[in-house]
Order: sequence, then structure tokens, then C-alpha cells
Amino acid sequence: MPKLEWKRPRTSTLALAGIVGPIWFTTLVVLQGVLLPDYSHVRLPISALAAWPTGWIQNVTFCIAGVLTIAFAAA
Amino acid sequence: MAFPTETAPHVIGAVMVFTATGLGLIVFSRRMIADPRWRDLATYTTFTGIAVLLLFVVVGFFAIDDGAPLHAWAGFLQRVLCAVWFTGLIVIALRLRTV
Repeated sequence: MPKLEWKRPRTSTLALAGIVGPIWFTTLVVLQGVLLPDYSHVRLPISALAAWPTGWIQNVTFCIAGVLTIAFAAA
Repeated sequence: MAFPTETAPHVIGAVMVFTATGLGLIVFSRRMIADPRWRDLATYTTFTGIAVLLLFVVVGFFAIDDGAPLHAWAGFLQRVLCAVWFTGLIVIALRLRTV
């Protein structure tokens, strides 16, 4: 069954996206919160990070997390 | 404080993402029951999906809006939701790498 044997490494690799994605997202959110003195992780939603002057970082984070989620779904 | 990110497309997107996540996990859990390699994760996945949906309702209706009873905790509650979701995602991903 060569197709099944080939499929397993691909599934395993794509499944990594399901691990990397959440860790990446969480790390970037925590980091931004630490670097922005007025931001409160308790009071403010994650999306609020996109409203700051450095909001492009959060928007990129959303996009990368989305791509990784799609890659994981393909696994 | 109303954030500029709380626009209609953002709200619609949030509803789609969190609803699909919760329902998707529940649907996956039903398929897991039929597979002996995944059966032991079925209950956990079901409850993760239900928790995501419930937490989304709590955040969306009781925390995110100005004046909502849990507004001061909106960020914390959203992070609890993400923690539940991401943990479930990682557990499933780790299992997927071994089957």
C-alpha cells in the first residue's frame, strides 16, 4: 500500500501545525501584552491588540494562525 | 470602551470561528467513537466542544459589551476559552502524529 505509507509522514507533518499554531498564537499575544503597558490581559479581548499602533503584529498573528489551522485540518 | 475591532465583519467572523470550532469538535468526537485508535479521546473532545460553545456564549453575551456584567473580565474569559480550545487542538494533534 504505497499511498498509505506515503500519506503517514504527510499527516504527521501537517499535524505539527496543530501544535505550532496554538503555541505561536499564545506566545505572540502574551508578548504583545507584555510590551504594551496599557494593555490588560484580564480586561481586554485579544482582538484589541489589533487596535494599537502595533496592531499589524496581531493581524499577522491571526493570519499565520489561520494558515496553520488550515494545514492542521488538511492532516 | 468600544474597540474599533468590534465591527460587523469582526463579530460575524468571531461567531463563525467559535461556533465552527465547538461544533466541529463535537462532530469529530462522534467519529472518534467508531475508531478504536481514537475512542479514548471521544468524551474529552465532546466536552471540549461543548465548553468552547458555552464559553463563547458567556464571552459574547455577558462580557464583551460595555456594561455587560462580566465586562471587567472579558479578556480573562476569552483566554479561558482559547486555553480550552488550544489544549484540545494540541491533544488531537499529538494523537494524530502517532496513529
